[in-house]
Amino acid sequence: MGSYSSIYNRIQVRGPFDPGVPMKPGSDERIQSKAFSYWLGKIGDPQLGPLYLGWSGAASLAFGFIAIEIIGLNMWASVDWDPYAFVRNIAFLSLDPPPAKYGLNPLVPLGDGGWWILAGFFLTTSILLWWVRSYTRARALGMGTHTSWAFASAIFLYLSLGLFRPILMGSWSEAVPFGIITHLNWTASVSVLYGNWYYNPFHMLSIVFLYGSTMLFAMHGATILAVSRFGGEREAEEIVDRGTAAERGALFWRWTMGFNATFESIHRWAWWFAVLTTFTGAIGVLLTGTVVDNWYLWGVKHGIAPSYPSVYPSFPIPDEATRSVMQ
Amino acid sequence: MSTKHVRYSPVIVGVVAFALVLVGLTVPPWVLPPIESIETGPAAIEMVQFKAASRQLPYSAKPIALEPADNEGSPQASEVYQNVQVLGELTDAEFTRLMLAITEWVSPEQGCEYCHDLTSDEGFASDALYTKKVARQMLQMVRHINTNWPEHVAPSGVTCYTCHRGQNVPPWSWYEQNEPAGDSFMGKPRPWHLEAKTIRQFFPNVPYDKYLMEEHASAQIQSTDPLVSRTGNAEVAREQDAENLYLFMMQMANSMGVNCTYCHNSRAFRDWSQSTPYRWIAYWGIRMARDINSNYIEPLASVFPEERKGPLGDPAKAHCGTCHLGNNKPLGGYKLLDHYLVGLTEDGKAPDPAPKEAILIGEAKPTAVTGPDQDAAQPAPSPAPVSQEAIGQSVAPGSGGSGNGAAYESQEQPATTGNDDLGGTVRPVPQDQNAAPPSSEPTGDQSPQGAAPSQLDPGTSMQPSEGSPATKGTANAPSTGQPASNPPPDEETPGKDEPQSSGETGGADAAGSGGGAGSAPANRGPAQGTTTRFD
Repeated sequence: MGSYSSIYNRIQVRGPFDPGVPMKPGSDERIQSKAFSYWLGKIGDPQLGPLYLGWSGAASLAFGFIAIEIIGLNMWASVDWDPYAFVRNIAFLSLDPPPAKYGLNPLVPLGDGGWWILAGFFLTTSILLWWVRSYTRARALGMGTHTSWAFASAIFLYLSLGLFRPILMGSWSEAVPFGIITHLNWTASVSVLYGNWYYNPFHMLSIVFLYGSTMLFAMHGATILAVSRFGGEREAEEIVDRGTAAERGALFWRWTMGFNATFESIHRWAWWFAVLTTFTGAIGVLLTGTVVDNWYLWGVKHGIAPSYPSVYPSFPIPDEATRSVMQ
Repeated sequence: MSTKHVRYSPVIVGVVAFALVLVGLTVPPWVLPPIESIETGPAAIEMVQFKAASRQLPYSAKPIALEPADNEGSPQASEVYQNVQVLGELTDAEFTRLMLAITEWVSPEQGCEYCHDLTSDEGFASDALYTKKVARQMLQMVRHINTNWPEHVAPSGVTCYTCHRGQNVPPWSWYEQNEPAGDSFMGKPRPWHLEAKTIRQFFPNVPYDKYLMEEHASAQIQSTDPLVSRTGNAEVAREQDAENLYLFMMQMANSMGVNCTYCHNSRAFRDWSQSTPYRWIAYWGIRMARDINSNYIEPLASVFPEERKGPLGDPAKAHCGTCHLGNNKPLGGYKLLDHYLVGLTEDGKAPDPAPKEAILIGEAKPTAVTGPDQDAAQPAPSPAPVSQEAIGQSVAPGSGGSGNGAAYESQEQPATTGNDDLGGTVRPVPQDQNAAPPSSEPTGDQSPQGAAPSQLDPGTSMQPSEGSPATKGTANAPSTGQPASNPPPDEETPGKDEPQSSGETGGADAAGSGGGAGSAPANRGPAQGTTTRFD
């Protein structure tokens, strides 16, 4: 029982190969490859398999492979097929969406963003198929579909950035490029462009839920590990049959925080925090440029942007700075 | 579970981890503390510049000025030499001294012959070498800068050495580049992906010609309205334009060894009223770079040989780093020009520091650079036609009125709400823009009690303030009458805690001055210059 007392995984449960619960009618056959991995056991379950592909999984992998190929080969082409340059600059290479002149036209020359549309189509299809897989596999195992809906929240953010908002704005050029640094550049530029996203209340909410998620995760993980010597790792049982582990954990949090979640509700807290991170973020994305043009000024308008004392004498401003840009 | 794994894996992991830590400690060029930090904005909002004392800037050697020339009895250069087109007015002694200095600054290794074809019959007078023609143009450029751009270059001015630093070609410059075409994605000249050392060198230079030539793109990319316009007109630039501007601004920051907050309050980049005065110097600098790139350097395209031109056939042009080379003042403000005023200025005088000081010390009038005085065209500010008591009340609602949302409303529509609090006995101060014309110059008593004395350069000692800074205005400067927090023109909405803090700290001053009330919209910020805390 003391085996969980360290911060890394010290024990490996290595029993006979577990073939899984019986299949539901209509499922494909499982691929009964059997393997155990010592190193996997260091971080999780040492058992590999059985595998299950199914139509959605197979199609998702195929579409995903195509998407990655399109993105990777375009990046490689952009450095003249130089393998050294490709590896060295991988973080800076990019597959950009079509320029603004094409609007929402789906038929864009491949070299001018057409590849981006294709890659986006294949990647989106792959992700949606993987969502289908997550749903049907959960059902096939008789589980609830909580994971699928959490995944759907993340997909909603992804689609808001790459599909919904560009459609609302009427141009593919509003979408995010595929690229490691370039999508970060996009993020920074768009934040500044729309007057500082930190004043976007949905961005604030998203950050709250993101940081809250990490905090809840740390609190929960720590609690369960700390009470495992009293059987606390059997969380599901202690939800309804509260034992000394749950009692001690609860008392600990009442003493340190004044309030405690239960062995059940902590998982709902965590699930909702995680789901709302991406969901609120997506709302903030969809409102940007469609409803709000300048989040800082929005913050000023609604009294959430404080004024700071001036530390410099007054000075004039150039008259051109007071004109609106695009008039 | 094999015992072998248990016995050796921690050792292997430990060795690998140790090696990684060792690599991480030794390979990157770490900067060791102490690192000096200098605030360039209000306290505690992290407008901070960092400087490492140990950091050596490139090309930072400062040449010693040559001994003064003995001009007595020296004939004019034009009498002694042939083909002296720019410096003919100088005495021969001064002329020779300047030529020697230029040689030391630009071609210390090649000497005179870098520009003068001494093998020709004409000798020094020969214009056979392209470098001579370029040098003549550059000499005119330096004289033009020192005389016509004091706003940016005063008081130190520029010399050839400011850019050249002992090199034939200034170490930092830029060429035009193609926009990334459909078949390439990064738009950088070939070797960049192998030579780049820092992340910024991966950024393309493409945008420079958008902002550093006389024909330039607008740098105003943000909307001045919180909400999308009802007409559907785009008020926000495209993302690619924002990225271009971002790259250009990174160039500026990199060139000067500062970060965004040297000039901007990064929460509202566009807002001049929250910017530091240094933004003005940069503003002039950008225009100066446009001037010299378009009028002095670009015309040399026909003079330069191919190997000196960029991929699109243009000469190497100047950006901020061409002079600054990582220092917010080139060469730390070293006044080399003072020793060569006769040759390197058009009028023989050192650049006039007045326009820059006017900005930094707070005496600048809006006429400085941007054309006619905008205030002149607008009605003069006049005291509001109400009692001063009423002013105090309307600026700072009664303490009982806050917290229930009413105070909130009164800030959004200052001219029409708040009547309830006042009980109908007095009329609220008309505070919309029409009634209270924009910003008179510094608004006198409304100003910050605790404002820092004028400071010409962060980190240096304070300048002796002229007049009393405490009676100068603050960030109310915008001559368009926008409040310090720069809300949209039609809806003036300062922060929610303003009335309270004004009432506590600035209200009395505001009430005591009719002029202050008249310019209230321009300076209703929360007790500017005080130590008001914001939650």
